[in-house]
Amino acid sequence: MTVSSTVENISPGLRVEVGEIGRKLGELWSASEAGKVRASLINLVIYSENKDAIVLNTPLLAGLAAEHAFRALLVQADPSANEAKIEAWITAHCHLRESGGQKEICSEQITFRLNGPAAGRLPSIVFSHLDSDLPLCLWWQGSLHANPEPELWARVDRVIVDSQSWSDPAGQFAILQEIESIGRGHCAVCDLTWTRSFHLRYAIAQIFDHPAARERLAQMKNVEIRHGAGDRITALELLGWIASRLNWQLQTISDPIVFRQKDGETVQCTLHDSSRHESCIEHVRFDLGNATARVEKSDGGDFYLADFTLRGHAPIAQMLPAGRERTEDILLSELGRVGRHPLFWPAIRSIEPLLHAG
Amino acid sequence: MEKDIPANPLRADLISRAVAEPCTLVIFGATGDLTRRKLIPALYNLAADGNLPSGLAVVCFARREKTSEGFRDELAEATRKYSRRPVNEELWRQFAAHIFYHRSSFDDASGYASLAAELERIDAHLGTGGNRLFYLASSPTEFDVILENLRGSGLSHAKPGAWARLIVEKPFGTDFPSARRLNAAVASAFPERETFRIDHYLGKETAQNLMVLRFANTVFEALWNHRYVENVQITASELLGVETRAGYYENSGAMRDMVQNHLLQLLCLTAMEPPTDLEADAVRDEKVKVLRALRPLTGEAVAANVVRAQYTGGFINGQNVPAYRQEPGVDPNSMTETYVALRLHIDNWRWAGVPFFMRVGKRLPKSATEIAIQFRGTPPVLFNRESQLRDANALIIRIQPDEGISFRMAAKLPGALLQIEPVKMDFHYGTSFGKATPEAYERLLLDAMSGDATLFARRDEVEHAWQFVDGIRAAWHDGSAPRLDFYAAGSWGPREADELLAQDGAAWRRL
Repeated sequence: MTVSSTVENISPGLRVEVGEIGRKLGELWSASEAGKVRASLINLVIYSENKDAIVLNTPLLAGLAAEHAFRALLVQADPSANEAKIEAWITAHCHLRESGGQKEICSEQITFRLNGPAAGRLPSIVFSHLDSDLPLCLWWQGSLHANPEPELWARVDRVIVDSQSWSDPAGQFAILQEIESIGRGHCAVCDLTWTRSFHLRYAIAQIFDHPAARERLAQMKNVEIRHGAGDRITALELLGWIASRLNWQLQTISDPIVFRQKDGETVQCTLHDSSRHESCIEHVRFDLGNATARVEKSDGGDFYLADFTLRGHAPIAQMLPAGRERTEDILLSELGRVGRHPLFWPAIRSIEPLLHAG
Repeated sequence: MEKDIPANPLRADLISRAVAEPCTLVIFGATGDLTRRKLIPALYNLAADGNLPSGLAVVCFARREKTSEGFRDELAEATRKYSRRPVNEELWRQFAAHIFYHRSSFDDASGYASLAAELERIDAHLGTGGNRLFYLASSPTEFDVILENLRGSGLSHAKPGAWARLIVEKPFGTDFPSARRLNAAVASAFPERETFRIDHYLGKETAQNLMVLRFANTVFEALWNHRYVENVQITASELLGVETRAGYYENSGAMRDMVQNHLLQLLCLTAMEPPTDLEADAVRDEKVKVLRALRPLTGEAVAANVVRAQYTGGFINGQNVPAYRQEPGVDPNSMTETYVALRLHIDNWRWAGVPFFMRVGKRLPKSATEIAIQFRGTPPVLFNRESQLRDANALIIRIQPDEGISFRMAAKLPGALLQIEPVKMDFHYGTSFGKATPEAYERLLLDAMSGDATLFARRDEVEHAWQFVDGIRAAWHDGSAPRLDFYAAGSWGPREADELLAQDGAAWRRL
């Protein structure tokens, strides 16, 4: 489906001249019915070179607006086009408040299509249309460009990427680090793949909150992770998190992957690529000597079943939320989180050689 | 023993609060409304959010003849009705499998012995680690006997490496002597650091946000004192009448039901100095200082600073409603106050000369709880020459409903004329943050499981609050204060309450 054929179906709104956007937004609000309230917590810029970006992201933004008010700048760029051309649309996503109010809460969306050399004018387009004093989140869909532009990245508060979509994770993480350094500590880096694993990491941590499990953490012998087809990067990030938190050093990158613990003991780790085409971890199992711990998705997929079993004892079991896997839910989870991800880079560093191993 | 086990390194950065520990929650008086409407739905929601510890069991201790299976069915029905989120049957089954009914009267020592045996069995099978959280959800008249039996059976004594905590539901006594007696009974069984007195107002999101607003923002704290604040108004208004609570309310009245606990807690959070840290005792120390600095109201001072009233018949939302004295279960000659308005002074450096006005009432035009900081006007020059801007700036913290914060300021009307009008900047939790805020009990239960007492009242807080309230009530009873006033249901209270503020050149905010 091409953008031009679907814009009529999923409309990015009222077509406007770029220089008129501010005035047209003002008119949009003055003409709107009473009871509509414009709200905004962040500037959310989405950049994509996917030709279907407008069609894919407009409904996503509409869903997002119900829970996290924003001003969105959706930029669909085609740098390969011959002719420099900029088109723009404005629209608003409104929803009734849940708690019985009469007010409709609305978030604005400004959509741009940048063709040819105009695609290089991203900073100018973005900075002219931000809601002042609000944080700037830039969700870069797809692969990052080499040699990131300091003018743009120095002013971004939060950069969002998704390493699942990368064909060269090692190279892309290097660019991401460069972007972070441009921000001089001001820019928070968020990988949606990392966010996606939050509930799984939470469930694993929850198992080891129990004193009986916690005291056996140092006795780890094996870790087994079963992941969706082709979704090795999610499994690697999870493994990196475990390794970095437990101070393991990578020793062998071939199968099985081997880490050395602080006391010199080794831990063998196996990643199984399942045949299921789901981008999630299906199963994590820990062998702790005389005990096992396990987290796996429930049948319905809404929960993780987590248990810890000490040999000869009944399992201590718990159901924990698995979170939702729709992109807008992952993004909401990310936007609802104010801080940074201090454990992300240590996790990546601890499995870095495995990124090259493919 | 848990003390010797290092912290969980996998927990870092996943939650920003203390971790709830495995435990068995024992609810005394579990067949009451509180358990069905609040406690079990709150626990279920915590489970759905993944916030409960692995290794949690609930033992429901009550007198009626029931089985665990039957009681779970009752609780399932109640949770479907009262939970803030839809019930997932799979999760409910897993959660409910750890709920047990324990039948015993509160004064039967053998019931506690069998409870101890059951708790041992639960520890062995469900990984609850010997930790016990006892919740007094029964009638307050049963507190003494329950505490005595907990002590007598040894259940109040934690096993090595484990803990035993107590949650006490309000009312914490009916006056200072009874509160002191209750506190002594509690102290004989549980140390103060393991005692958690619930005031659910403190679990509300906006009440928690008060400290953030004050101490995480530069602009407000600089103005938060007698130099800039004209007065503070704390309102807790209810649309409803006494409903089915006549038996309780006739003895309690608005002063003991609301002022002694909820409103004084809000006053403390509003007026306290910044604590040295966010530890429970640091925060509670500052709250106690406010209570100690409250100018006592006794004798004639009560007449000058307190208005008490009762609603007569009137209209609520256009519907005729009866007078308090005509409500079922109410004495036709009742002198119980359904409305109280107070003018308070906090005699410390920060608040010298600033009146704190409080009002609480039933059958008022709408239900709302809020704190309003009314700032002083600008000097009477330039735009304020005609004194039209006396009350231009007000900061409103809405506790419920529609939790949020608004700020009123003066702005010029567009046009050639210089006309100034108040405008309002508004922050609504519901508008800005789409996700539902947790119920107060969710936060408070979780805090008790993790041993964080910050949002719970300490013994000295409760006793100071009672001493203050007892002074007023004594004046009501010895005749030194005016008799009861009356107000029509659906009005904003008696005329005398308006006059109370008018003496200071102020007026109640229109809600």
